[in-house]
Amino acid sequence: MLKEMSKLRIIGPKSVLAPVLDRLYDMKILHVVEKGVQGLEQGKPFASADQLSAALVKARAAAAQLGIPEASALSKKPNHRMLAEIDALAEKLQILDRRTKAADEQAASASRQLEKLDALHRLKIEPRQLRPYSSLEWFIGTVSNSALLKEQLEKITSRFLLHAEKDGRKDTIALFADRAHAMEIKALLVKQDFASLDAGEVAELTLPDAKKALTQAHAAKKSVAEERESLKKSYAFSLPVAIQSLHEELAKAEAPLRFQETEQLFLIHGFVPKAELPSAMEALKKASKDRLHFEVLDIDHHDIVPVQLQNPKAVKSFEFFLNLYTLPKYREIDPTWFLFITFPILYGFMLGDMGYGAVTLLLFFLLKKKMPQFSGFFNILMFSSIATMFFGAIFGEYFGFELYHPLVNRNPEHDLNPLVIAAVFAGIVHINAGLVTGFINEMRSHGIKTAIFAKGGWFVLEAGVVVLGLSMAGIALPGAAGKLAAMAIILVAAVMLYKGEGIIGVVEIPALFSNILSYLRLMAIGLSSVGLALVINDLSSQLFASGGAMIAVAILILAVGHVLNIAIGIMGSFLHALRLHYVELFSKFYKGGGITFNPFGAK
Amino acid sequence: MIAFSAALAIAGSAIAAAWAEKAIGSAAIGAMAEKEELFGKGLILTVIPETIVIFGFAIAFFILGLAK
Repeated sequence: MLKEMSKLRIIGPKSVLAPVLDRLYDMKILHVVEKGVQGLEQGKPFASADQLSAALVKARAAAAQLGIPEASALSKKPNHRMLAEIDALAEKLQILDRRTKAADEQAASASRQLEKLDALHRLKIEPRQLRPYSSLEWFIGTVSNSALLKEQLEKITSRFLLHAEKDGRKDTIALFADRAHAMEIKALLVKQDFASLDAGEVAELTLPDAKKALTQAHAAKKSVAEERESLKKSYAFSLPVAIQSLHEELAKAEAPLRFQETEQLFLIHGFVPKAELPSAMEALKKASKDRLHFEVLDIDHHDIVPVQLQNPKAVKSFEFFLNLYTLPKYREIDPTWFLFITFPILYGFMLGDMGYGAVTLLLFFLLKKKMPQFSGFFNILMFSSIATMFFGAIFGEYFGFELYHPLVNRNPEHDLNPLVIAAVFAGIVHINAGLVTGFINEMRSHGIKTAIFAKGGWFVLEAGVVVLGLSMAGIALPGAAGKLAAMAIILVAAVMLYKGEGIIGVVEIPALFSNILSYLRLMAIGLSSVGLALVINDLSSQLFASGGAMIAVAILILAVGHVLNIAIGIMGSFLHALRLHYVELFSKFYKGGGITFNPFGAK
Repeated sequence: MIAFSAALAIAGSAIAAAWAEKAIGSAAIGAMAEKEELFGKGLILTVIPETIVIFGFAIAFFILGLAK
């Protein structure tokens, strides 16, 4: 069922807009539409909107930086203190950020210097030795092969001193050499992939100094982290409240953008559930001190009326399928009831096994307890599991075993024709129910004439086929007369469909039969599931018979096999039952495309 | 011969259905990546060719019926 809506226009002086908005936001009953009276101007946001949105951005950024979740159920009117506090917090965080960056840089440079000092230490060179000399040039860094370098240096000059330290793939060297040969030595070093350590910058440093600098940097980082943590603690509650409050207030401040206004007045257009209209008007009157004017307008065909589904609790779970597909339009029939009745039946027809039904019922019950947020979905599956047990009783099936002689047989060893007929019969009933619904829908939205042509044509077509069938079987009107009569009826149906649905209706004629035959899957999916179960049972019973260690294997096959078969069965039956509704059934009456009722103030 | 015909009916229609679903499925996933609400419609479009294999199954079933 769809909630009945009223189209409402609210007019009032701008002076009461703020309290009216507060009330509307809290009530959450008005779905605002932007289209209103032609020629009037669009409303302007409150002056506070800019300030509020800037504060909201700052507050959200702060929450993200501190890792505080935004969600809050509480809110209060934002005041100057709140805004000032957010500003102060943002500033504090900026300072903390700068301090973190500085400490990071200090730590990085200190550890770099430590590394260099350490390298020098290993080369047994005092940092203070690294000063400019008049006759000496020094090089400190890494080369690819120090032994080779030494050989080559000896060819140039004997006046050099080379300390080398093997360090993984590269050698760290300290080379003091005669300045006169500097150019040749540099060329040599380039060939050896020399990478300078840039040791000059640590010449003035000592190891303890560098260590101290590093400790200081780490201490600074730690203190910043502590301050951040204490900020997080002290704002963990108030910041989400501030965000929520600002969010609400901003929504109110920007709401006039969706209204219209004149110099003195504001106009709000929207839809309110009819049942809640009187109480809503009363509350708004109170909030505005009786200075509002209400007009309840007629809903015409151009209006895009929002829809809110309203079903009893058990049926409500099945709204899941409509949310997944598309919501009905305002004047359409809500097919949730249809789904509630026929979805479990089709599902149960396919899975149909008392054992499987009981196991899945328990499984979905436990899953529902575990994941209450998906309770609607599991409700659907629990209904379906009950239907599975019911059909299992009809088929006489218990984990693939035939317990007693079934009402309708589903074991491939016996005659399967009754099952085929049952499946096609289910299809005929289901699709005709869809056509009847379509007839009512069409009558509601386009009148009885269109309904007769567009949907009634299908019934005439079916009648023609029945006559043809009876004639061919020789039950009634045998021979040419019957065929002629049938052809005439089918022709009439084709003309009606052409008038009602256009050329598409005529093209769709064969689709009606393929749709009905599509219900053969009810049998096909079921048979494959039974087939698998039989294989599992046969295999394990043979193993049981051989006894000994084979019994353990048999139990394993039985357990794993049936679990797998249930999993495949649930998935297959669910998807195919859903498909039969979406494709075969909904194409007979359901168009959808409705928009959700989304009242002002709702999340 | 009859068994072979039945197998052929199933195999051929299954391959055809799979082929059709392959193309539709990837297109549907693509559309869903752009707009998540299309899941319902994508699912419907994807499963439409399944009817082919159901028909194949029905034919195979009737062919097997000839054997009796």
